[in-house]
Amino acid sequence: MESEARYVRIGLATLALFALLAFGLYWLAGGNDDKSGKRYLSYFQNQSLEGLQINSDVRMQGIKVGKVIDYAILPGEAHKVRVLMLVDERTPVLEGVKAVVARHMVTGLANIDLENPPQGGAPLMRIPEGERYPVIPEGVPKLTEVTNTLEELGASSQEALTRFNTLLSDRNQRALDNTLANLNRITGELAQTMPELHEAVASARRAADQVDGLGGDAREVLKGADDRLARVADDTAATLAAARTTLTRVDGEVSGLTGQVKLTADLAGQDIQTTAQSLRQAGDALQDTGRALANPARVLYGPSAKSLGPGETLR
Amino acid sequence: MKRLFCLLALLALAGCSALPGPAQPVTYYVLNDPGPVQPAQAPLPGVLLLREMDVPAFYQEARLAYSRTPGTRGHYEFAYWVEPPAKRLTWLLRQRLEASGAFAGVAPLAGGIVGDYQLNTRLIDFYHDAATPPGNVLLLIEAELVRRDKGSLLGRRIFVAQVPVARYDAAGAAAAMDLATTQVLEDIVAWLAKVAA
Repeated sequence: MESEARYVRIGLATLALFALLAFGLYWLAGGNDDKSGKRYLSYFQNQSLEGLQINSDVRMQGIKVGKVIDYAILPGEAHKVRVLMLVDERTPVLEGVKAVVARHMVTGLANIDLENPPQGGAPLMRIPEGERYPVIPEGVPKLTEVTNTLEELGASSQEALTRFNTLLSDRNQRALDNTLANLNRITGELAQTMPELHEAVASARRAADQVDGLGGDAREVLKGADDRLARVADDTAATLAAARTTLTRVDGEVSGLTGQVKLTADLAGQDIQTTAQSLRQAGDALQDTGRALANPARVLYGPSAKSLGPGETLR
Repeated sequence: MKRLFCLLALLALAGCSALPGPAQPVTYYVLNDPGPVQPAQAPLPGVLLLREMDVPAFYQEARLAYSRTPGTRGHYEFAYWVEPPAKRLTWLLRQRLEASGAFAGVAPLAGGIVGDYQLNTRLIDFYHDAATPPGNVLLLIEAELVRRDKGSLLGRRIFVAQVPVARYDAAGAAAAMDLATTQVLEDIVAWLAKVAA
């Protein structure tokens, strides 16, 4: 009887140990974590995910706010990795948030930093079509930005050096030497001709004074000439106006005369036609009269019976 | 001497007895255009000058003409026109043209007027065809229209009219000639309106 009671206690203790073991395992597996977080997706194709593991930290502002719970390289897109994150639901993941891979310099372990936009925004709730969770776009890490800037600076420096080399080419150096030599020669010659230049300037000044004196005389002459030219212009304008009037009158008279000549010629032509016709008919009539007078018997005795017209009789 | 003078006087009187006695009296006919006149549809803007009608020597005589045998012509002995037929036809044609209003103006050539057109006409034949009594009257006139500013011929045509004679004498012929005149002048006016347009 006593041994049976002991077996029951041993069995109960064993069951309790198994239950404790199962709870411990469940706790260690984090099975309860899902209940206190939200899931987000990110697709990485520009950043290396070296050192990223399941359960790697998801941080925001340097604080751990979640963990990586799954990742997979997309089939058919070798450079694109799909990462599923679990983020504490109290964490404000806003529209415009970016996901950046950060790596510990010593251990090489990677985590994902979530960077909200500085101006803030609405919580990221929208689930794209074909996805199960909201998608956080891939961002650009600070180090990469610095690297890109350094690369651009290097390229610009290279180009500047190339252009500087071109500027200092042998040909340009020779040209510069020649220019300097010419400049040196010119300045030397200028120094030698300086006295002559002084003399020339003095001569020019004297000439200007003379011209100034002449200018007064010339001004008087020009004024007189201007008056005379004005009178000549007035006379010319008057003459031209008179000539224009005369020409207009002559043109009108010529036009009238032309019309008169045309009219006269036309009427004369009509008269000539009529006169010629009358002369022709007079000639015909004269000829006919001569033919009638060729038979004096008819003139003396009148028409014969044979020449009578229809219905005519001799009494 | 006195005897000789008396003898010559008797001979002269004897000669006069040989002259023909009084014949049929002469009748003078007036050539007319009895009408009617058709007014023109659309008067032309130009002035038409009408030249005196050309006429052969035979028709210059102011007697009615006839023909008993084809190819011959004769004049009635006692039937005269008041005016030579060509001259009268020219005047009648001018009257008809003016009455129809076919042109803005119609004037005789050499009348001191400048014209745009000139109508030349020629009387070819105008006689009583008496070969088969009572016969027909035949009238043929040739007409040509000239554009005076260009000196170009616009058209030429011969107009013919044949009208039966009611009586076989000069009076019947004159009446038929009036009708033939109307017919030909009407045709000429209609033709002018077409050619000058």
